[in-house]
Amino acid sequence: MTLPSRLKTGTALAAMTIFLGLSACGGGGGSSAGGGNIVTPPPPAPTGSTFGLNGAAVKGLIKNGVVSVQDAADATNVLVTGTTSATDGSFSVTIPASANFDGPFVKVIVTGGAGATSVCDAAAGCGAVSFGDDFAIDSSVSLSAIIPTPANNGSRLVNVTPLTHFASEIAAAAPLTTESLSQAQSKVSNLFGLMATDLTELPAINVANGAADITNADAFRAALISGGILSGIQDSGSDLGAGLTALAAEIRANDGQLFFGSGQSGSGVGFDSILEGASEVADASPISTASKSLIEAQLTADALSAASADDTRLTGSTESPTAGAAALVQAKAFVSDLQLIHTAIDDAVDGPDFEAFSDRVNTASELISVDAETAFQAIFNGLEVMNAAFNAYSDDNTLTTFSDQGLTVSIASGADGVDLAIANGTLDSFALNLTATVANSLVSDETGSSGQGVDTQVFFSLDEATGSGDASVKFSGSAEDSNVAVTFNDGVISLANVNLVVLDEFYANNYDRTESVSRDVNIGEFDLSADIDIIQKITDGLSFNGIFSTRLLNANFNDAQIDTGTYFGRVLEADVTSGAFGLEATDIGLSGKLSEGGQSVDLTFSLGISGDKLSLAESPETFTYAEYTVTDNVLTLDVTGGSGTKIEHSFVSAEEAAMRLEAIAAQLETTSFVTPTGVTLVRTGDTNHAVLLIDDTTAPVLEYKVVRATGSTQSDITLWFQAANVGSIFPGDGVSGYVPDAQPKITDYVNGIFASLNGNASIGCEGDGRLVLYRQTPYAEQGGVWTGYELNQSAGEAACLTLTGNQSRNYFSVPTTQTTDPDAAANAIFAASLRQDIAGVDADDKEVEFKAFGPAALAGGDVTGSLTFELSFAGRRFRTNARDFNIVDDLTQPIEISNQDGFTLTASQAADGTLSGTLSKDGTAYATLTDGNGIPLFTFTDDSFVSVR
Amino acid sequence: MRKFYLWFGTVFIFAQCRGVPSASATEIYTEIDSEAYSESFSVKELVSEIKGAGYASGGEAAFLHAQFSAGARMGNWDLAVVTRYDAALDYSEATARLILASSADGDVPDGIYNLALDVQTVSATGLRVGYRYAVSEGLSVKASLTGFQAQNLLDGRISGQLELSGSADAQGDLLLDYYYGNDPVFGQDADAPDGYGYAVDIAVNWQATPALSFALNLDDIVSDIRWDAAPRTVADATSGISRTDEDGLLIIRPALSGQNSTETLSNSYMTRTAVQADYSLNNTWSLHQSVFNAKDIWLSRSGVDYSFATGAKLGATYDWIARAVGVSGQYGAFRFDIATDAADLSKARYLRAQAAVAIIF
Repeated sequence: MTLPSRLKTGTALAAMTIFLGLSACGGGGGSSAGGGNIVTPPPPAPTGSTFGLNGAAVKGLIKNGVVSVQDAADATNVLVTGTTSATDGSFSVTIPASANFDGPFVKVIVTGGAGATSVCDAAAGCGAVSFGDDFAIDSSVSLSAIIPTPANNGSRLVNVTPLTHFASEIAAAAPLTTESLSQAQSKVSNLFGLMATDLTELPAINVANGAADITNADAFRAALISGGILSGIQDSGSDLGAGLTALAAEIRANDGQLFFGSGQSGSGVGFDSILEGASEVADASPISTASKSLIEAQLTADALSAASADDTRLTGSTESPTAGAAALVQAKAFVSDLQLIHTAIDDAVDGPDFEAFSDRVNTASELISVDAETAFQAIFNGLEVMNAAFNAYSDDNTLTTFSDQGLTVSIASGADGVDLAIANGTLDSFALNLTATVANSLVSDETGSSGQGVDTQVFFSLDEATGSGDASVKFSGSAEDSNVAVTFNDGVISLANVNLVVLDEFYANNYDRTESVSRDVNIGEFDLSADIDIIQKITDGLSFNGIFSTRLLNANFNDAQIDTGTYFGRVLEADVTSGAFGLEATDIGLSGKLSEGGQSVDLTFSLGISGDKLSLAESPETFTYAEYTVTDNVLTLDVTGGSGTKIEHSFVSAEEAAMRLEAIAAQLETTSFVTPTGVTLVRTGDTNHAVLLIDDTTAPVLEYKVVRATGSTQSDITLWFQAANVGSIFPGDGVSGYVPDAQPKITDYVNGIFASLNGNASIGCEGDGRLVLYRQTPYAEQGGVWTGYELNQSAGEAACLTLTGNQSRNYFSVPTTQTTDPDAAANAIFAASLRQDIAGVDADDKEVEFKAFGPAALAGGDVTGSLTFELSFAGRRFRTNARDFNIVDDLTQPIEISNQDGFTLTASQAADGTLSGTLSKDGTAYATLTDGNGIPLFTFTDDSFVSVR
Repeated sequence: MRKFYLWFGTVFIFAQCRGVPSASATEIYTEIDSEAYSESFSVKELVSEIKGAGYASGGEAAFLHAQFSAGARMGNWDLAVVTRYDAALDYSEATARLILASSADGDVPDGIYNLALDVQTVSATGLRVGYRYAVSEGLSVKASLTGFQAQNLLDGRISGQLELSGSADAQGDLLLDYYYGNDPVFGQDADAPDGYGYAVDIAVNWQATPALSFALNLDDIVSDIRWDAAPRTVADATSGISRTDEDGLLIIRPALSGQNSTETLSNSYMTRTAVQADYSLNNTWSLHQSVFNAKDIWLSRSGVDYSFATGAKLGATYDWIARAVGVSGQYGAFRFDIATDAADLSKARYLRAQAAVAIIF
């Protein structure tokens, strides 16, 4: 008789699993190490030992620099000197036995001097020296690195950089031990977001060399930061030597920290300026690999985050708690930290406080979103009035005020351009205050045809933009009502290298408005940035305080179909959306603090897009037809037959509809009305154009317009509407035939707007209740007076119009189903971070930051890419490998998690759900992950084990 | 299986023909001796999955002994090959209640549970040598020594406390210390050890009067099993996984942590003691009463036998503590004894099955 061994699972295991199941206490991890082991300095090298040191000095590459190797404990004991290479900054020295050195640490110092140069790695250049070129550095420029003394007859790599210099300065502030040196390096690594445990062994990279190997992402980031340090020093007004000295002293004094802003900084170099400079270096670097883009995106996000932080605050990074500890201790700390992450952070996020915070934020966000959107709209409308004021000023520079939409704009010519201001205005129930300064730099000097000078239309639409050159507008302002206050500060819109001279052709040649040409239009480099505050005006309400920036690089319309019309000598319309919109790159960033009550979350989002063809906003689909049939309210179009004038129906995106409506609205200059028979047409309130609320968010907007036989579009009649079905826009079901150049009859009308130029068309209501569009004088040249009508229900005409008008300008309608061009292609880099104080993680360092970043590509309608996740807190830093979108949470695909101590966990989940893996460092396994009986265990090389959830 | 029945039938018929063996005869025999008693759970669930069927409150122990032997007796000597499986459990009542509650429906009542579980399982195969010594007429003593190789080691204990209160997470600590061949808790890979040991049994029979006799069996009165390189795990399970150190750093202790090692272990079997008195009312009827002890378990059994022929009898037993009813019988060299406390064997907390057959030369 053999009894099954289930006896053991029936009792012992039962008790265990019951306990575990009931306790719901996640397992795993040894005690959070805290680096508890005592690390002693390495044994001193034998008296008279000899060893070699080789490496490179990089602050950009330092060429012909003086290398000095000293006893780290005695600066007067110079063991050997040498010189860095004149070509790549490398050096190699040998400390002879005759030096009689037996100390535990050596310090390598590289200084400038006569003949010494450094590669300029600041994006803006170094004085008169361009990025990538050499500039002379004097003896005040000094970088150092401290390393444990190599064994007798040994050698080791030691690259000397600003980061190693900072680490050596920090280490030298306390008695020097292996542990203190590791901690100092860890502090610097964590401060600058590096995973490196030994900064002196990071490969030296010349960021100005397009062929540089940046396989080691950490090394490349460190090199970019080195360039950012130079940028920051230059921005502070110091020279390199003095700046480095001051910066190192500041880091040393602040125990490895820097002020976010330069204002409080003794060196005048803020952490934000270093990261911003590093981001700019990445942009300037000729290296063009995918990994560069990813690192650049990370830096951009980090720079945004730093820029949005409190300037007067010190950075909060700390060293790894296990820096310098024995490998097994670090391995156990790795597992312990995983447990800490799972327990402390999960519990915090799932905890009642955070959940309540999240719920309140969600609720408040819903409440504030409508108000804020309306406030933004009020600000934009105000800016448009300012734009109109500027245009008026351009025509008549004696103007000092301009009024429109109930707002009065004061105009003055200032030192930096034209100053515009709206003080205490009221628009759409918002108290509005806006100021703007338009720089006098964008001048239509290519043709000199219009003499309009600066044309701010370029900032708001392309319709009247002209000229070439650079331009900028500075703006600030606020919109506030009883619910919300939205404030912009330090807003800047700038354009560089604009080339809109193609539009000047129309001025020069006085093209008829019906002309259509194909040209390339380049709006150059577009930058917009602003500080944004949004405050919900209730006690402990939601608020967002941060910055927004966007940049379009070489935005252009290739082969843009430009349909134009002239209006008193001005280009009336330039419809460039029909061309392929392309960008070299675009960056969008948002960073700030979202607060509600006493809690807050720091958010950063960064998106960089590049691609040969980006047509996400392209008009999705156009039907041009000559014959049609309508059966059972289904429209069938025949595009092969017919000739002559056609009627074109386009499904238009909400954005495009809005843009085009804006263009028309800007032309409305009359208060007169046309009242077709049977329909009361009412002009909308104080606005200059007629709109109806298009509130059906389920159907696309259909645009009706007349197209000439030549293919050009007649722009004088346009109608946007939504109908209950497509067939109903035609005379009736069952009708087929050639589409005449005649008005369509509209039944089952839902809603829409109607606008016509100079009364060319009107709408009426037939006796049978059908809404009819009348085109009165087709193709006739008009005087340029647009009229807009709101379609209101008229007494006795209920069957004709069923919707009432809306006094607001909510003509934004619906997203079309065609949102992307199937041929659209783009590459993007995404980076986002969340930083939250998690009480209990560390009383002194409660900040937990979660980052996600990775590349994405759009091609053939498919989006592919990968994400890397990083979590850092209290000196720890965990980073996953890049996970493809389709397997990002699929643990059956092995996942790699690395940490700040250089350990990597490779783990995977079998089909039955069991986990397995290995925790290793430098190729040596220190723990294995097993999953017996549903209890995942890490078993270490000393046979101890811990469970994890 | 078919061969077994053929062999069994042959032996049975042969034994019928030869009658009751005498003390001086030579015989070969085979025996099955199994007995299991669990104070809390059914034996079946104890070895499979606990669901609560047949649960009795107040229990704190269980044991299981199953042994098969085949050998030969020659005069006073007895030599047999033995294979056996033994399991013994001691546990606190709270442990049993917790196991029951969680296994039955997962709804564990609030309260403080003092958990204690001591478990030992061993399977062994060896050679037994016995010698019967007639001290005087009517009094004999038999001593048996079994040397064996052992496998399937599990020897350990779990102790601790668990507090359940409302919907809050359970609080408590649990200590585990166990040796094993196959890790029943964490499923860790380990080289299953072999053990080597011995066990001594003593049996005393005394025919006090023609009608009254006594028997004393001390099984495994002395035993020792030595396991070299036995995998051992000492672990701590705790709900108090977090605390803050003096620097304000949150320390997360693992819910489970421990240390593996391989060590030399010496353990022993639980001694099973049985005393029985037999009294013959006449040539047909006899009564017997016995008391059994193994660790903290006591059992008391009464029985009556009816002899319907020479060497042939049938009997009935009742275990007062286990509340088990049994039947027994003997026909020549074949005998059996089975008992249970439940008609539905899946709910039985007491099971006894003994059978023997011999071929007498």
